[in-house]
Amino acid sequence: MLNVLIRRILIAIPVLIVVASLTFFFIRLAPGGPFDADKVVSPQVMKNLNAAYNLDAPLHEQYFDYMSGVVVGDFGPSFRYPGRSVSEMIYTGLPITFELAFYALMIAVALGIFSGVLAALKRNTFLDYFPMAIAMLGICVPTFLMGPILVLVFGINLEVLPVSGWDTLSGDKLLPSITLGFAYAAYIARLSRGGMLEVLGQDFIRTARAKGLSEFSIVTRHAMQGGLLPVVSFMGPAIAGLLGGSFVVETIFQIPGLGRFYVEAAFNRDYTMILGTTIFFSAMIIFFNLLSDLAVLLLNPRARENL
Amino acid sequence: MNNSSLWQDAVRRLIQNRAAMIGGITILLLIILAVFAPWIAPYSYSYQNLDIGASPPSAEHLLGTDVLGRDLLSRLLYGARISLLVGFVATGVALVIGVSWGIIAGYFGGRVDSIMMRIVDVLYGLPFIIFIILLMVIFGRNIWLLFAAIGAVEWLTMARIVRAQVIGLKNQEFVQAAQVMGVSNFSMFRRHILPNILGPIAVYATLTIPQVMLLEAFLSFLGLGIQPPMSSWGTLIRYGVESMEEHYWLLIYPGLTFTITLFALNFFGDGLRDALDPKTSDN
Amino acid sequence: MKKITSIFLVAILYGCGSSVSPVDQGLIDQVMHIGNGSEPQGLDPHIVTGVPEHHLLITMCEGLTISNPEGGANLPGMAESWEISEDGKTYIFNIRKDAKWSNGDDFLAEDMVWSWMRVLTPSLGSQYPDMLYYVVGAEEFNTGVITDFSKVGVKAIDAKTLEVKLNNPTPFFLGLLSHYSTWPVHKETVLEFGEIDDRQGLWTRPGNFVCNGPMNLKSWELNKKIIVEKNPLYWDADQVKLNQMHFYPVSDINTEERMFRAGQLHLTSTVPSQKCGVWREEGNPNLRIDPYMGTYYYRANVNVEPLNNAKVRKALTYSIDREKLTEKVTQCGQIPAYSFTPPGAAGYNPDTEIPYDPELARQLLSEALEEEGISGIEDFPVLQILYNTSEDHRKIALTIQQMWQQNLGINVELENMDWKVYLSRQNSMDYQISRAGWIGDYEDPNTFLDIMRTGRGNNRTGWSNQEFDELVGKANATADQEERYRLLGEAEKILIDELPIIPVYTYVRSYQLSPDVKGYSPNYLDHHHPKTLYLERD
Repeated sequence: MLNVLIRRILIAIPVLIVVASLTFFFIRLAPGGPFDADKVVSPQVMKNLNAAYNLDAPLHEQYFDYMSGVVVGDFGPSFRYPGRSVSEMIYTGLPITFELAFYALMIAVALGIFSGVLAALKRNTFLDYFPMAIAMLGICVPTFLMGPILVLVFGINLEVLPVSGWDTLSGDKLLPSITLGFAYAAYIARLSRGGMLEVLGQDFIRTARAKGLSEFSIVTRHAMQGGLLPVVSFMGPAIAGLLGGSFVVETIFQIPGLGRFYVEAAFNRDYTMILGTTIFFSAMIIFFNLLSDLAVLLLNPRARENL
Repeated sequence: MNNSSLWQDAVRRLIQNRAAMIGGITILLLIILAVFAPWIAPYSYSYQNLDIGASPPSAEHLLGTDVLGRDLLSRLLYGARISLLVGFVATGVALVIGVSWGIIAGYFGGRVDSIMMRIVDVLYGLPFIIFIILLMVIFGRNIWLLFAAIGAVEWLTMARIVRAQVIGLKNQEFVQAAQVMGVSNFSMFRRHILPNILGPIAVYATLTIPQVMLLEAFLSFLGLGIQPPMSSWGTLIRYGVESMEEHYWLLIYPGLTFTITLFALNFFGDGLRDALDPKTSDN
Repeated sequence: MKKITSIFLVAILYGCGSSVSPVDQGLIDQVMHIGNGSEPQGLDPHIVTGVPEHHLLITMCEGLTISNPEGGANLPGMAESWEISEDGKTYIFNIRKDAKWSNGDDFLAEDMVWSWMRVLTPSLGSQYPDMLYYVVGAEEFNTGVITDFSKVGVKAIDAKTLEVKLNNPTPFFLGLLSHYSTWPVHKETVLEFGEIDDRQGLWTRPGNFVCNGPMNLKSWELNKKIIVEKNPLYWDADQVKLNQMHFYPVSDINTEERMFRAGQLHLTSTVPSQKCGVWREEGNPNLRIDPYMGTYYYRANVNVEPLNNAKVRKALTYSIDREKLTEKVTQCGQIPAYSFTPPGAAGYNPDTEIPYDPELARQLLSEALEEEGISGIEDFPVLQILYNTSEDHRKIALTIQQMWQQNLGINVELENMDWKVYLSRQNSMDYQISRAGWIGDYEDPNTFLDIMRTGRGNNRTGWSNQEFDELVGKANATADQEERYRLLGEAEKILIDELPIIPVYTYVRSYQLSPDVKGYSPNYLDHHHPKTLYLERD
């Protein structure tokens, strides 16, 4: 196990380097530079600006400059926000996005697994149809719809929750977390129902039932391990999706998270910011994919050779 | 082993599943409506009637009009073409690439798996928006390209799920038995592995379709997707959210259509899964 | 289970339901909450370029003159009085005796000289140095032609007297001085954190920031909130009634609208367009629509066929029903534009006309087709309208697309690009028709007509007309306002005859303002000095 872990972590480094390098080169291919603005400046001023940020140096020189900075944790200055370094902006926004994703994930996992397992057990009854119908709704209703509706109902009409901001857990953190988590709860519900049904139909479950084991013990000790396999392997993409999808929620609820910075950086062609956040998000996704693979392994020891 | 009778059994089970059939027929109906939209739609999707602006449902406009006076029903019908296309094509692309990738990585394991999954990691990390901007700029506003781009993002998750399933299957007795018997790899995939993972694939595919449709709406909203005046259901919903309080019909009808379609897809997908995987059905 | 749920719900309701809204609390504390559109690029007046930055900087720094809240000529700022020479080329500014920086230092004429040197320093990369190009030697210094700043026409005669020499009599020079690129920065503070041309200096951080305006920077939470608080050392501090101003960088306009409704904001940066029409009908008392010095127009690339033919451009212009567009599509009180410079700017009223005449337009078009050797309307090339992603631009483009298609029978396509691609396509002249907007930097028609001169960076149409250039150049060298306006009016006529730009409408500033806010008057350039503002409930 430890070997596997170390090997994967070591492999993660070249992966990150590849991601950073590919991103470095192809963001410069997109038309429009960081300093293009509505009010055009004279060529001399543009020259000065590019010089101030080393953009007039040959490309490979810029690349090595940048990468050698990254190695020691220096992600460079933001091109769009003079006086701000990329590290500073990431350290400001990342914890917030992380927190939001965490609460959303908690809601998604708790709601999702509970309703999915219940639906599988009470198959083709009301307790199957109803949660699954809500789950479908959760998948169909996008965050950019659910957010404003929740805000209108709870924030403006009922006036019980704040309309925006990110300060208190029982206050303005509630609606954004629900908005973001609900869609994933729906996915997890369906995946766990599907997975559980697979497992529950297998022979060894029949055997266990014949042996007279309690339903509860069958579900928790025998079925869930295999049944939740799709859910566990979905955790990686789920977290990737939560981090990426946080942008919409952050915009609707005015949350100063990294998701917003990331998308705005892309549209502002803030090269260093794009690179910095890409590297961070990549690292986190790789990390969570690794965790999820390890969990798969734990639940299915015979899959060792695949790691 | 006679494979055809297994498939016949599957079809029979599918037909007997009422919910699945209702779902399937609904989808078929929608596809027909979408295909014949230019003939069925009462107005053009782009014709503006500025004098009436946004008006609620009436005799001339069954579902109302938007802020530029364009008929919502017609726009919904034309939007069906885009959304259904996006849904099926992009998901199809994701399926083909993702399933193959996942099966190969999961089955062979070891180095092959390691390299394949690290490539997935790299692709996961790349900034999607920049990638789309580049594609649009270099290759122009080609709608098929948009679908391919969306599919190219969704296949990553499909691959991971398929791989996990294959890993689970790989070590079961029947697979090991087949290996002992010297069955070729391709045959293994086609006759032993694939049929057994079709269940989760079907479920996940029905989950991917809405994701894909909404991703298209997100891209269009950022200016990276379909060019106006053409709209998809996703963009219609997006516009509807903005006027939610003033012009409720602009949200309700697209939203309802979207939801019904996805429910139908879902029932059908579930039915497919149940039909293909007898152990999970009610026998 | 049920019991736990209800306890949970009650706890939430109790925790939140009893709080006072920020607007209510602000009334008591004299704290104003403002929606500011986006996170400011920074707070260095010599580096930033946007409107949200202006809203912040006007609270913290002050130039030689300030905008008059009632409109009209600028009022004294750091300069309490000034003398202008006969020929209009030399200004003597008398700096206020009691003017101080927020750290207690005296404000000296020398500070203005150093500040202007900084903004004109080429390596700083300021994007607005052209505000000062009217000063002798400024353009040469900024473009590196000369490197000795003493050759630039700004000098400190003594501690409190500033002399400025201009290239030409520039009647709008005093108005220019309310643009933030001409504002002073505190030399010791800037140099403590970097060189004069260091863009990464941390002098703008809370705790370091020193300036000379009514407020000072208290806190700056990235993408969340910026707080400024009253500066007791401001020369006019007795007039300042607000204690604090909180600026929220809300980028989503629907979120901002909800925040206003929930009592979280006193003032919004804008109004969602689909709500504006409805509110105007209902008579929403919080809705404000003020005149604004800006023009929404379409650029035509005159280097591209068939747009090189002026009759084609005329045909396109005459087939847009501006009345209908502003009434039914933009719906927020915008004014159809029949000139490039907004009428009424500083008393300037261009005598130009643009009819809505589809008949005439078709005739002009067929004449043009003949001239260009195109056989029929079916052979007319497809026109593409380029615009950057925005709900409003989309609606306007769709409407104009339909008007051109219906009135002229030509084919028009829309190209929606993201912001930077849109900019780069315009800069490289890779477009046919492109959406554009221009906001005046100072209250004088020159700020509009100047950009259409040959070779000007913001021209971006490829249009060049010698007579136009001469008229505008002459107007700039004339001291007599009446004569100036006559010359500029002539230039405007040429512009509206050739139509490299297709005017659509004159901007308005639409926003929501809480009734608690007093002293907020409409300003043509959207300059609102905080010392007139206070909160009071009737």
